Amino acid sequence: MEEPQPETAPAAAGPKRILTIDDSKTMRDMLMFTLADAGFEVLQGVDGQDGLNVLGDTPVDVVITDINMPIMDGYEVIRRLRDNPVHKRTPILVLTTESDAEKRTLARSAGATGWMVKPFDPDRLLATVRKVSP
Amino acid sequence: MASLDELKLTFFDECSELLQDMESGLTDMQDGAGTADTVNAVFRAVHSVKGGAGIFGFQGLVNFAHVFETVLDLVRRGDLAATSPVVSVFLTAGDVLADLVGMARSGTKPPADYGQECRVALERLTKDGGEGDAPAADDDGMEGIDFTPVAVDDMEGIDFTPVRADSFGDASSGYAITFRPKPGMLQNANEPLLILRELGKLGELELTAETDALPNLRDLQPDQPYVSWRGVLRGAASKTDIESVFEFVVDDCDLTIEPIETPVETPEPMPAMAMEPTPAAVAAPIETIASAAAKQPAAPKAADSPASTAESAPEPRSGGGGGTPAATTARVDLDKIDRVVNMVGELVIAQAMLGQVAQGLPEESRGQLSQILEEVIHHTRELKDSVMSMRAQPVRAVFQRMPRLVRELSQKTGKKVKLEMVGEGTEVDRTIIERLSDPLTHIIRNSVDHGIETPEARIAAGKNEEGTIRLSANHRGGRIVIEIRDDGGGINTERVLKRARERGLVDPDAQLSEDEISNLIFLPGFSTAEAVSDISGRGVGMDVVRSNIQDLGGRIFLNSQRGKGMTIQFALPLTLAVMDGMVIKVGQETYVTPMSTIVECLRPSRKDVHALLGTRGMLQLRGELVPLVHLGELLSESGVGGKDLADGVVIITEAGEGSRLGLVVDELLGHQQVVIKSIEDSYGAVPGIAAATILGNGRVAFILDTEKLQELAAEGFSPLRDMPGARMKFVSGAALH
Repeated sequence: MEEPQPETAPAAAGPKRILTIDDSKTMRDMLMFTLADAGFEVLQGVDGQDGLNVLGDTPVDVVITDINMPIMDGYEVIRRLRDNPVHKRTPILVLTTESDAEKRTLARSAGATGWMVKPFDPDRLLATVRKVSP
Repeated sequence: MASLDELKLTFFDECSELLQDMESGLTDMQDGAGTADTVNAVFRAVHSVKGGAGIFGFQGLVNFAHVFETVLDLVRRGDLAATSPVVSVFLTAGDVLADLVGMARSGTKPPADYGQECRVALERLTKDGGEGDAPAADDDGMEGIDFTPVAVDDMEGIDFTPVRADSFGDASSGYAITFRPKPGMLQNANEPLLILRELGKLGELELTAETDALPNLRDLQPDQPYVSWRGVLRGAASKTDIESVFEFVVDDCDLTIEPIETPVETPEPMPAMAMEPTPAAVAAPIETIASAAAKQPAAPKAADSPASTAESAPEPRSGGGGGTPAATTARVDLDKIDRVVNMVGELVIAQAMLGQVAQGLPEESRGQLSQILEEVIHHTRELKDSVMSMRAQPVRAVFQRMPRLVRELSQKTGKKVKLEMVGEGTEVDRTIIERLSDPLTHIIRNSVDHGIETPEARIAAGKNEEGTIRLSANHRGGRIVIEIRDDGGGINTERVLKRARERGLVDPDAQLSEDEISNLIFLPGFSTAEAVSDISGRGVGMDVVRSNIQDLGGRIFLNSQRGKGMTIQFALPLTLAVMDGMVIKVGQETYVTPMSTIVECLRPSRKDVHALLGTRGMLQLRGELVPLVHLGELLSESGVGGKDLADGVVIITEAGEGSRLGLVVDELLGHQQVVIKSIEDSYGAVPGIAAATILGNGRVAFILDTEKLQELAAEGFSPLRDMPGARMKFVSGAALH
């Protein structure tokens, strides 16, 4: 048996980085409030397209995205991220008010890693983020 | 980091925007102009309100929004048709939602049954529309990830540290688990190791890896899961707890979770395969297996392996806990903008002074300076326009309150009224917007209450039974014009005249035109309501509306056509800080006349000036007679008494529609932008004078209130005659800064 590989080590020595995409400022602020407080570095996008622009090819540890957004919805964001070799394996959590199974299936087939329902409880959110990220 | 209170403010700001979006979407739906996008936008608005409200623990708001959203979702999916009755339930629901937001904002707890009626109506729609369909947007099917909203406020003191499951004792009970990932799992970035780590937190976990499926090294695909696990979890964790660990992957793996009835013999832990429940220990041995599967050194596509992304060094980002969102808007404190507005004002003054100095220079040195000055003037003007546009806001903010008003009023009066709105995007200074709400509300109340007839009366008059009120805004000649037009009965002039005579507002035998009679409603103490109704006529009359508009430097026009309807127009300045003015000279003094009130300037020929009995003089202008008055005489300027009216420049001003006055002045000094400085704080209102400004030569000049001057001219009163002291102080400029 070889030595354990640093497969699950954080992306960098610094704080873990998260991209949040949501068209609601309240939600963005709230996510920032919760995540930055827990020591994450937070990038923000105000809609799908903006989120992708902000991200570019910068690796992040987790992406949290809303589904229902103007300009580009969350499904498309997920598909685009999965098409990008850099983000192909990045955990993507969907955070939305929509909770029906059909939408969830859609998100999963687009490549979403997990699903959370708004309004979120900060501790559950952090637990879920930690659950999907190394 | 923003405090929770700041977040709340953001939320309420956002709510107002969302509620406006919702309102306009619903209005479109009501008019039949709604598309799928409209429904979606309304849904999104309601759902964002719900989302934010949950964070802050506004439970009543969340609950109501949820019911509302559920029904909207039915419409969105096409399971419920957006018929007129349905949309009208939505409109009411929108009102309730707005009320609940208002209560949340003001910190009032909504009554428990608030909006109950509406909620029942919404729920009825769910049953009607969603037959045979699973309840939309319901939390059913969400087992394990039912995120009950927990208010952040209440979070303090609640300990969310995971409790070790085995601390509950009874470690003998447990579940047998088999877990076989499918390819889709890795593709969605779900990592088996992390799942096992979570599982390990639930109790005492013993796992065996099944590596039978591992292919030869050269056939190994890095993104395929080849390893499965089976084992036992002991502890008090329930099946639901275990399922929740697998919540994201349940469809991407073969999973069995079977309770163990009797304690089974614990298999002898194999050194590399058994796991201790501590996360660190869990990760290590399993990892070895997984890395064998996922990251064979020889694998050709090693770059695609699950964690290689994480390994590649990220580009350094500017640290400090946050990235830079590419936001296209920024919320700026109004005070900051106002400070810029003030500075621009000072700049305008300084620039005017510079111009003055340049004038005094010898010709040869002036040339280049003037050129530069021209440029400075140009840039200052652009700067002024830009900063003013920052303060500007679409009138939508105030227009959006009107549909609800009309709806409520038409319900109360039993009249059918449709409200059309045009030009909501027209922008005007936000101070003006804030102060437009009252006058607009008053006029719309009047329109529905007195203007629009009952459906029966309308049909009898050969009109559509539904009355229309059209609210429009547009820019016209540097002003914003807001028009409220209805197709009701217009002003009942006989009644108005009778009332005015009863109150002694007009001479019993005065002969008034229809228009003049209509305008009597603006007189203080006049109320058109025969009986004081619940809606309007509660003492606040049109005179207050008019003075509100005048306080904003605006003018109000009324046009009524008996039986056909009434139109009221407000013409308002776009900003309250800087305006275009004509600088004029009378005797030793300079004054500024707002450009917006000037119709034309001319030097009359003596033959056009007629002395008519009872007037100071009349100017015959293209067949029309315009009363003339010498401004100096009107303002008691010394040394102008008895001056020949034909000996000067005449500025024709127009205050109300058709009411013109020719102001005779000595000289026109030029057109200039002036910064408005209020004098009311120091001296109270001075009739005929709207404000003051500082001119390029540093002197103070009064800005004329032309409408008031017309009244003064008619009354023969001078505003400054009685306050010489005040006048001296004005001229010295001591009261201004």
